[in-house]
Amino acid sequence: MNHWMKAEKLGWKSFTVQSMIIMGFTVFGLSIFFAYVASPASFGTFGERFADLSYRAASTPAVLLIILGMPLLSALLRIGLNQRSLTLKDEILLVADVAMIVLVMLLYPAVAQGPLRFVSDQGFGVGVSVQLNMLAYMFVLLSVVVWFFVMMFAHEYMKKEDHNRRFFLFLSLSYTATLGIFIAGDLLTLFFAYEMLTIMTYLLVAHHQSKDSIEAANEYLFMGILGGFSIFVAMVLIYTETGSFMFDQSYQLLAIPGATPYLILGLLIIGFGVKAGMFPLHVWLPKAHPVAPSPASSLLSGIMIKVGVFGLLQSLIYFYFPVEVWSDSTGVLGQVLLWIGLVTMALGVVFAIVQSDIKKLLAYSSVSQIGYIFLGLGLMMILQDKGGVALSGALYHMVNHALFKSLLFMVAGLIILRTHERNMYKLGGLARHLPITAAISLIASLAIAGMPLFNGFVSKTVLHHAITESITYKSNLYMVVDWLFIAISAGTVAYFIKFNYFIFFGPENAMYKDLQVKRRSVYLPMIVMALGLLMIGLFPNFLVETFIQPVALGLPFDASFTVAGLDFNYFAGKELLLTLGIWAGGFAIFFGLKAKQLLTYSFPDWLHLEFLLLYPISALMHGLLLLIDSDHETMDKATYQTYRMSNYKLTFKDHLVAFSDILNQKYEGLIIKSDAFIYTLFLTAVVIVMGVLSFIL
Amino acid sequence: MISWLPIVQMMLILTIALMSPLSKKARLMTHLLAYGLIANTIIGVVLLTHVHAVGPIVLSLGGHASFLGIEFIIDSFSALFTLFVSGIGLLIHMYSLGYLPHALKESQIASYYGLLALLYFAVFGLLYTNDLFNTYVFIEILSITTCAIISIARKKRNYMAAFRYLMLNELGSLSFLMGVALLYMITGSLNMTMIMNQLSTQFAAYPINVTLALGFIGVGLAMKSAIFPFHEWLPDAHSSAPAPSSALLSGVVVKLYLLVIVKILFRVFGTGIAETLNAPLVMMIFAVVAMVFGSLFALGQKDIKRMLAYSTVSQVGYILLALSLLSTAGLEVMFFYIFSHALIKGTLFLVTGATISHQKKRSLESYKGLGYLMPLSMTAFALAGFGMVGIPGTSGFVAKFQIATAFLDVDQALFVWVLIVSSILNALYYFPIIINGFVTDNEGIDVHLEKVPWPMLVTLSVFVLGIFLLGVMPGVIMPYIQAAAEVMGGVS
Repeated sequence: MNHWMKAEKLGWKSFTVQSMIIMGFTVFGLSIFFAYVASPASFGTFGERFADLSYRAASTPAVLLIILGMPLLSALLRIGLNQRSLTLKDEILLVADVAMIVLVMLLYPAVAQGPLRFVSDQGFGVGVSVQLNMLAYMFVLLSVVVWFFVMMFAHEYMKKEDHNRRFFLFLSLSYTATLGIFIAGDLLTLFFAYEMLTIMTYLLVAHHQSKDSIEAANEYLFMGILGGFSIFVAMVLIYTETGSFMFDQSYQLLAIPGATPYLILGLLIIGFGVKAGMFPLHVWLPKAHPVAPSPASSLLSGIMIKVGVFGLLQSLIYFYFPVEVWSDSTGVLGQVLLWIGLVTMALGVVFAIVQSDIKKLLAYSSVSQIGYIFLGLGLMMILQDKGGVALSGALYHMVNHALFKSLLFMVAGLIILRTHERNMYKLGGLARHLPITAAISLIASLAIAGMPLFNGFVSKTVLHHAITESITYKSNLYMVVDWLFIAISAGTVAYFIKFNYFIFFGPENAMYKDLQVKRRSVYLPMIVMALGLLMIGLFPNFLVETFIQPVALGLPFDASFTVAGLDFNYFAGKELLLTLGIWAGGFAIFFGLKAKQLLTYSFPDWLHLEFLLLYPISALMHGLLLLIDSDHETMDKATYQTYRMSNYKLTFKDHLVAFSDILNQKYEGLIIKSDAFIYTLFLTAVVIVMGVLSFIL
Repeated sequence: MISWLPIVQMMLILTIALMSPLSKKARLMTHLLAYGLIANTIIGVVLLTHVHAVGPIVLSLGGHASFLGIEFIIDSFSALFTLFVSGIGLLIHMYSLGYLPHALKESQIASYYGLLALLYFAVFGLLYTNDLFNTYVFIEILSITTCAIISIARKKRNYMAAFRYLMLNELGSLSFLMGVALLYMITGSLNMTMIMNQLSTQFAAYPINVTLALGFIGVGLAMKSAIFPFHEWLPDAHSSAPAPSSALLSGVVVKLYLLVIVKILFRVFGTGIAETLNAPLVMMIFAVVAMVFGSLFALGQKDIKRMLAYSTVSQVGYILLALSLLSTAGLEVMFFYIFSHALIKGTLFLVTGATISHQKKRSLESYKGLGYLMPLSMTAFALAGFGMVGIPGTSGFVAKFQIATAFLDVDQALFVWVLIVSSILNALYYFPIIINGFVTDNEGIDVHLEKVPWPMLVTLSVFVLGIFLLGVMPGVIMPYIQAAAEVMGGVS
């Protein structure tokens, strides 16, 4: 608390004013930029000069390197600056981010002309490369913008946290890694950035250094490493098959006979699925995202899980898309992705509904929304040349989710900042004290739940249209997918009603009567983002025409089946009617569950995925140990005590450590007594293998 | 003139070794060995560039013909590895400047350096010689000096470790000698080249003798290079030696025996006979077991140095796996792995040396919060740990990647999975140390930069830079490694 007051004295007011100036500048710049993007021609000579400058900037990799290096530079500057004023320190980050936004905007005309690509032969022995095409550009732009908002929010929020310097240093390193994944030009570079992201984000998750957060972070790290190795194997397989890692469409892995391409895709799905929070590899996500400080959760859920989806999409595009004609095998791959997506969606919703922790609810919601995106990717593969619409839906949803989920985490962060309470049942009636927060939360919730005029509706409609297409062109069986989609969307509505009801509108908690609104500068990024959600919802075609359509057209999709080609009407009567149904369903689910008191239902222990997956292995180890060490003479007492603890309370790693410890002691004891015997034994064995096998067989 | 440089190299280091009984002054010996190593490194560079440009040098000692006398062969292989040994040795020597005064008494330091000089002498000889019996002699010198180095601190645990080391290694040496005797029986020669020429015709006549010879030599060397079931001496030995020599033993000396195996397989028996006798299969089995069990056993350790030693056991498995391909490509991978592992394991042992001497901490428990006390050393530890796991950007990644591609090229995907399992186990025991070091409550801990002598820090940074250099630009040393592999296994 003391720390906080001190920070207060050091001038939050000046930060508010200055951040308004910076924000004003940025918003102004972005609006001009979007106007330019919408119609470059109307800018006349100024536009031409801008384009000219852009071509010149894009002729060397310098700009990309500056963009990659800027976060680290600003974080180091922030650390090096021996000033007590937090304002100045955090403004360095903001200004650096604005500079990055400007540089990214500068690159647009060049990217619109064609992808930028820079290759270096040296590096890891096989060469590294970066590329910036429209797809990557879209996500780079999205990241820098969202990061800017979150940084502004972080200034206020991080005052209450310790280890600020470390936090911002690793946040910027994660930033570099994220951008690195987006602009990687080959799988190896992408893998490098992926591993860097895993390690750098570790400290963001473990920030509080409490037992919970370290456990969550460890799980995150080990699953990330596991995913990394999965990608590693896929990478090695691709390298031996094609002799290169480059993202260019000349390698069609599906042309390879046998199971190898499916194995590779499976490994890639596992590797990227871990990062994305895909079922059944999502287990780390609901633990890791809530324990991180809110700005970090915001970015983790908003941007960093997209990295997984992006990596998968990138691999699909470059290794599994045909140049001309689609093969039937893609349909099979699509089915797999589709069902993974559906299960992830459903699971996320079911778990989100029963959460009481506000950040946990949002984390499960992220899992569920990632499911939507996987569904889109699956449909894209199923629809093959007509898949443009599904791809657009998935991309659109990625962008939208980045925006509203980071906003929602900011809302959660703000509530935690004010009340120090994460359990939503203990909150209530906050709308009266925090009206702006409540309004922002409502906007974001309406967006994610798919209310017309907000951005979530747009992307969900496109995705829904893709399902309709698969019913029309592929099989009537996709009706099932349609129903599930509708049911899950209703579930989404239900848990966001829950979120807002218990925090802002439910019965008022007396504890928070005197809640005051201070430090308004936090609202600035949130309001701007909420307005952004509305703008996208009101002008749904802008993003499609400028960013998404070029991506879809660059791929082997039938142009008449893309969003623009279909002359899409978002607000058609049928869609609106469906939305009405979904909302009615959502209300019904919420009040139904509330009446039955099922909102706090907790699932039994044995249903936890870790338990289901790891219990058999633990049990096996346990059995083995009892076999080799039945009298437990070699176990020391402490080890044995830990070991006797109920099997599933011990984490898997502790189990493994205890197992190897005992095995080792047993083995050492054995071998010390009989080294000459072992020598003879192995010598005989080796000679037999060498001699007998080669002479007799 | 240049062709006598190897002799200069060895005589120089031998003279330094012989100085140690005469002088009990640590200062003098420190200086002498430093200059000796610098001179050897320079000579190593000269020799390597020379053999690269001109071709191998064959030295007949005393001018005797090769069937009688001892031959030294200085080619891309031996020149590369002698340079590697003297380079790493020089760096570790720099570290010792800061480390040893805290760890040993002055008289002990003098004899320690003397022993070390003798160890280098044996290593150079082992790499250069083209004579089997001579190899045996150098192996013996190496074993005995190592044993003395392990017991130099004169504590009970050191004596135990040294004794165990001596017993098992003598068994190995004798086994090797037995194999050599069998070969001499068949071929009547001790010169490697001549044995190989003889064997190509004699193998059909004496298959059992040749099989037994290979078995004796192979198992003997396996004991010395701590291949899994014979690794028992290694954790004790490497964890009780002074830190700089642990780094040297784990990083360099263990691999030398593997290089001797390379020489035996490629220059004595020839790949043809080795393949007929299923040597690759045997090596693969041993390698896979070592990779998995070494890591698994490391996981259960509570003492940091023992853990690192077990990790070496598993890494020896990786190197053996690469060797089991018995091809030039396999040798390239193997040699790169040796370089990479020497840097990484060297860093790890040197960091533990710093923590043990400056914080008196050697149990894994006590690494909690160490990142606050020794930020620089622990950062080096973390980076080397990443190298061990195989995070891209470090040499460990390139090494593992090369092994994986080499095995997929010959359609043996199974080994890639073993590699992954072992790497995951690596992650399971390296990451918790790093995490414990950096992410714990730092209340009550005074955060500051460590007061470790600067030579130690400089050495650590050079090692870490090396890890990243090899990880980002392996092309720097690849040509030399390729040349060394080609001179051994023929042009691929």
